[in-house]
Amino acid sequence: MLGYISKRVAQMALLFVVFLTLLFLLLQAQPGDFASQFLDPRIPAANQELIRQRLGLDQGMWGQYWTYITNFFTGDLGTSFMRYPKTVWAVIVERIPRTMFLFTMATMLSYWMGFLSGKMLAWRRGGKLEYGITLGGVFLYTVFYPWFALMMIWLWAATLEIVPINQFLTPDFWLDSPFSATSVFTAMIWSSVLVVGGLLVVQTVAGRMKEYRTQVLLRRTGRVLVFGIFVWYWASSSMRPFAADITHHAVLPVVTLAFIAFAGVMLITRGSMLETLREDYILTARAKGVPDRIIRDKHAARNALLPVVTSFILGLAFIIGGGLVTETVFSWPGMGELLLTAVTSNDIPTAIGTLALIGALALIAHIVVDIVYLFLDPRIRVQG
Amino acid sequence: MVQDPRPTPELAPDEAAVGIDAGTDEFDFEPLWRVRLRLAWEGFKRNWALFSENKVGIIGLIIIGIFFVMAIGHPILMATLWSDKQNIYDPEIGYDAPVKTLLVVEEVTDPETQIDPERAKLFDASLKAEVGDTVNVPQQPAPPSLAHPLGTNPRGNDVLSQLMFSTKAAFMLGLVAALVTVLLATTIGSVAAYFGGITDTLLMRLADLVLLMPLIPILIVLSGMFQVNLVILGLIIGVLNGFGGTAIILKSQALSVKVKPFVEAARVAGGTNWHIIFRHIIPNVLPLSFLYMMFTVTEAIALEATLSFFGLLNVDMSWGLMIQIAQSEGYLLRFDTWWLIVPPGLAVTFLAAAFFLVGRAMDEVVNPRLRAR
Amino acid sequence: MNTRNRVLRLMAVFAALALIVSACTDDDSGTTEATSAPTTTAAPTTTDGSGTTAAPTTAPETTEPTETGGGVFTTALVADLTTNNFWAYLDPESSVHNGYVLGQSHPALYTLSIPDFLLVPGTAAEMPPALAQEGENWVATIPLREGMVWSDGEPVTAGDYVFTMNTIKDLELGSNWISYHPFKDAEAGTRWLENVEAIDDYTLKLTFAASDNAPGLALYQNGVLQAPMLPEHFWADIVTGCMAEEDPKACLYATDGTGEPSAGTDIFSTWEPGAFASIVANPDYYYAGVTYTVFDDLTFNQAGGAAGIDETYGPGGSTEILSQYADGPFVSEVIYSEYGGQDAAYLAFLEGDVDYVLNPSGVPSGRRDQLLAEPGLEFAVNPSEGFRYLAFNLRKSPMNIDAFRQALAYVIDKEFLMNSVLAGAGIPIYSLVPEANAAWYTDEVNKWGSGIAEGERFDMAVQLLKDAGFTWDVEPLAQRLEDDPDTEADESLEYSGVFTDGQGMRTPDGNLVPELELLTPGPGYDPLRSTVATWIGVWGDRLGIPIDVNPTDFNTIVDLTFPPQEDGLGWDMYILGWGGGDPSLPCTSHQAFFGADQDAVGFGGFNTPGYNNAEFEALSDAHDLATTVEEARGICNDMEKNISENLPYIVLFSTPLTDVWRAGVEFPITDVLGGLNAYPNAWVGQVKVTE
Repeated sequence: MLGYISKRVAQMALLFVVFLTLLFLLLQAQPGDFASQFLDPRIPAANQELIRQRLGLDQGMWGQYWTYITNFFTGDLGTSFMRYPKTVWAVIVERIPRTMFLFTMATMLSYWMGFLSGKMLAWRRGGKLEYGITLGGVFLYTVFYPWFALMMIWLWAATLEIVPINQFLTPDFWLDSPFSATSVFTAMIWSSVLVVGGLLVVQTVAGRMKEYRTQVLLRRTGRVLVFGIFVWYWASSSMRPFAADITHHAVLPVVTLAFIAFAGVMLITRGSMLETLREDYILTARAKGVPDRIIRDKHAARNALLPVVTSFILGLAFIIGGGLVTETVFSWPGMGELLLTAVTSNDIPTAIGTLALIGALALIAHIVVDIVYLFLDPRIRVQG
Repeated sequence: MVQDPRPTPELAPDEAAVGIDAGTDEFDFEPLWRVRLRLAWEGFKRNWALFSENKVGIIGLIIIGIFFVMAIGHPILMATLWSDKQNIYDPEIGYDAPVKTLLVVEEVTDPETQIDPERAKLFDASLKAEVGDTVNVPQQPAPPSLAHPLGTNPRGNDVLSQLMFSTKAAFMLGLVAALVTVLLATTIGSVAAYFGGITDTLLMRLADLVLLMPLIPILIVLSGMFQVNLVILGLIIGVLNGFGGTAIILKSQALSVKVKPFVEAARVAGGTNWHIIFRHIIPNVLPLSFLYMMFTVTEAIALEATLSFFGLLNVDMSWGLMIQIAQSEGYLLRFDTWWLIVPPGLAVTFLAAAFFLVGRAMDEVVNPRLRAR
Repeated sequence: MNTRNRVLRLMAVFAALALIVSACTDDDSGTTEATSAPTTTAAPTTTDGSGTTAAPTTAPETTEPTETGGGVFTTALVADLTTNNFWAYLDPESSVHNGYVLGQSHPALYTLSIPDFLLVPGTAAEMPPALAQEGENWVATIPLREGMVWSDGEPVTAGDYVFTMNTIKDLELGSNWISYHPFKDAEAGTRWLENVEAIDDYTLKLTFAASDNAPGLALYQNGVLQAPMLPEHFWADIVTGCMAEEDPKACLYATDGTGEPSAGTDIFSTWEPGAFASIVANPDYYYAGVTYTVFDDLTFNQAGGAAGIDETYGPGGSTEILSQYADGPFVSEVIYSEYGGQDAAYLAFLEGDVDYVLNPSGVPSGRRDQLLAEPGLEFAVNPSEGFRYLAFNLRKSPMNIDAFRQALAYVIDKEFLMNSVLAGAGIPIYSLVPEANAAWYTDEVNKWGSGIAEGERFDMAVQLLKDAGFTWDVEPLAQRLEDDPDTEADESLEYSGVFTDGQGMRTPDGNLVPELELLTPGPGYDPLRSTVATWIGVWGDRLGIPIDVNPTDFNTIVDLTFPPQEDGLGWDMYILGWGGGDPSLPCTSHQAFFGADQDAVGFGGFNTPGYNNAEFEALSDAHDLATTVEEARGICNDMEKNISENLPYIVLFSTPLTDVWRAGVEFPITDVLGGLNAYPNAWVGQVKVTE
């Protein structure tokens, strides 16, 4: 197995270099360059040359490529053109927490919704309900997303005024804030990760117990404990109102994203469940007289999870890229919005930096999926 | 309520059909083309029966039909009902500019005919309106009326005309993207599966490479490089899809075909590699290809609309552009001018959904495990 | 129940829970929002200096404390603030949005009065002296005001100016800095600033290079004299430190500008990147409370305030007031709330979250119509400084034939386009200087058939082409009622509005006119320009000029037409726009657009058409040497006439800019060329908020 993984990793590394090169060539081939944004009759045209020199655009393509690749593998993503002289890395670090927060929340919500409804759909095959939900889900899945997001903003923020209009915080409220938004985002992400981690630990430990009652007891206390710590942490933290403000602003984009994404998960789950339900061991379980609910939740759903988990992991990589559309429409200045402005304004280092990060994470996700398959696929486990 | 799962057929109907064909073509009394035609027709009938059981797919087909009528309706309308009003109904340069002429007065007593000097300045391009002058206040965008069933946009263009005109563009884009995808993905998938080895590795790593690229930013870059019109956009989407995800899926399908007995039989009978690929593997991968064709159409329509929405494409007219024009004039995030935003938004959504629904229904035809029986 | 499944569900429940919890806890923040008005006046970094040091004040007896604390002015930015470093703002980060926040904090020797664009003393104590010759060189000695202090109490001195100028020179700062301190080898030719020295704390001596003629307005009054001054005591160590670095400029630009003292109305206070920034009132602002008055003979007076000044510049004598307002700061804090785009910003405005939207393109027409229905809002509309134009490639035939361009100018009916097709979205214009810049505008330009009926214009164009020797296979014809296209046109009849398109057009030397490409931004980028281009295509076709209107990406057009260029033959015609130039000396832009030494090919300048006209060159040289505004105006008007006659550009239209604000907000001025968004640094400190 190790050999297989190392071979994959080597292939991926090579692929990544090709990927970087391709990105570089594509972005270079765009017409115009960053300096053309500084056309101003009041400034002598000679300044254009100065800008090109400063940004290294006068080096010629292969010179720039060589500089770029060598720097890249020493961890230097270069200097952002838009935010000169800030480094690309600094710009990305400023934005990652915002994107992470938004999209982790949205992804979790959509997978939960999607998995539950997909399971139901597969079970209630052929009913009116199935048609209704499938149709609704498909329309959400294929809805013209910017339009849908705008409609959501119009309805919830402008008309009903339940949530704030765009932005990720309320400026008035944050004027005297002792915290920077980044530090609050970081705290929120870490505490969420710890809660999820805690729940998983509780689940695993409880699963090892022989006695069913102990399992239930352990699970319940564990959950209360984890959530208790979470609530206690935030209740006592002076960051709480600021975190609450950010969360309030995140509600609409998170819900909108989840609505769009859940249908995809639902359809995958449904397909996967339907296939699983035809497996022999389900028939066996039926023949044994196992109750339907148990078959559905324990036997079928568990194995139907595989493709869902796959798409979850593969999707995680693209979380970093963020929703270019979401962030732009909701004025959420994260990675997606950064990528859009970088690409449209010919800020090559920022664009490649962002795309490379997404690409690297996608590659890692591919490898993780390979490994997860080894663990999750029951057939492989039986052999092991 | 518990279904009785019957043993599922090993081969999808099409595969079976071609399988027979491959085995018997030398001994048949009927001419080959007639056998093929008959088998194809029977296959189609069988599949249609399966397909038509799925109401979701039928709904999709109906929606596509409606849009198709819209697409062919536009030139007909332009030639008949709107023929002498081309200057009004042309989707690009036609305009209807109703204006309300108001008298500038100090005290407004009748807002229907009068306007105060402060407001008057806002509508007088020369910025010189004074009391006693008249100013023309444009009545655009105009709400739906008999002359303009879906109103006009801020430029006075007829929204219905633009909507219908753009339908053709959407179909064309979808068709190009889908054909290119299927052509590339089927060939690449089959070739990679059949030859394996280095060919497989190279093609699949290429697919991985394409998958690493987030589609929208890459399309933005490409649309900056080329003068992207809808056909070229369709080509690009088709190429990206054809080399990327769809190729991988079709390859795994082709792999399962490759190990089927009739492929082995063909090889024994002395079929060349390319003969086997094109006569035996590809025909059996095609049903799944058609499925992905539908999904590609969905994707292409949504992508075009999104890029146009950001003002990144240089197309003459499209649904996304209609929203973009409304956006640039400040008609977004409000509902009082719904006819600027809702029709194109719904059009994109419905057409994309329709192809997706047809795709889903085809999935159940192609993939017997998903079938209800 | 299945365990794994449960975990997933719990994770999601948690997510939902977090959202609900936050929605509830937000009640606290909600109330804070409502009441959190003027509790904060200064950020921790900037409070220290206020009133601690005894500023060397000489004048003020009548110290009227400025009424600050008059509330908070909240405004929306439609793009992010990208730096708080003033050095960077004028070079790599020179976005208009950065200017909205940072623009007001630094003094200059002289500034332009808004809205009349008169040169008035800022830190200088009197109007600029005429340059005198000292040996070969030209020199000026300028006295500075005493009593001006930075917000940390340090005095504003001649040393600050010298420091700023030397930093520009030593570090070779680019972009806007070049126009304040031209390099020796830059555009200034033989005229440049050679030396700047402080004779004492309040006297400056500027020395210009040896030359036969005194430096003109562009270099002297509109250049070096308007350079901003940065506090030497804050920056000196940083600059020295950066000089030792490998890339001193990058080092300087990367420095955090937080804590830099201000000598403007406000001090930079807080910045949460991507969310908001704020500035707070500067209690030590020198001009606080001063009333500025402009009389109709362009006499300028500044009087009163904490400084207790009363100064009058200009001819004097008139009592008819053109504009008048008092300097602030009147609000304790200005908050710049960042929205990713204008839709969200206007929605926030509509909901009352912000008082005003800082949007360089003004309120779009649709938004305006929506807001007109809302109570409690006020509007202003102003002409813009910028213009959109059609440029010809004079390096290629037939664009290089005057009659060809002039004929197109005849058939392009801008009034029809703007008033009918675009429903008043644009103003038809014929000169580069907008009419609203009354002092520099001339009406005596060639307007090519403006006000003449379509058919007649068409005939004039055809005649012009014929006279120049153009021929057709099928001659273009504006048909008349009952006109038979096959016979000779009967000129006594009315035009029918039907045209016979010209076909097979040939240039005077007998070559078939090839298909000409008209590059234009697409409808997604600018629907106005693409619509105009479509019509130009229609009109061109009528004349028999085969025009292929090609909606093209902005970057692609710039790439094809602007330098670096090999031969400049890659295009025929294009439509783009220019933003505003310097309203107090507008024809410097003309030199940049049409000067032979600015040719995009070979010289790397902005003269994309490749215009090279002897008369224009003479005017351009004279403009460089003009030392009085009157002289420059005459030359500028002649340049306008030259351009309108020879048409390297056909100027197409400009767009009016609408502003809207909440009724409780009071701006010092609302009628100004370019609208409120063009000069926010001139009013942000003077805004009043009354609720």
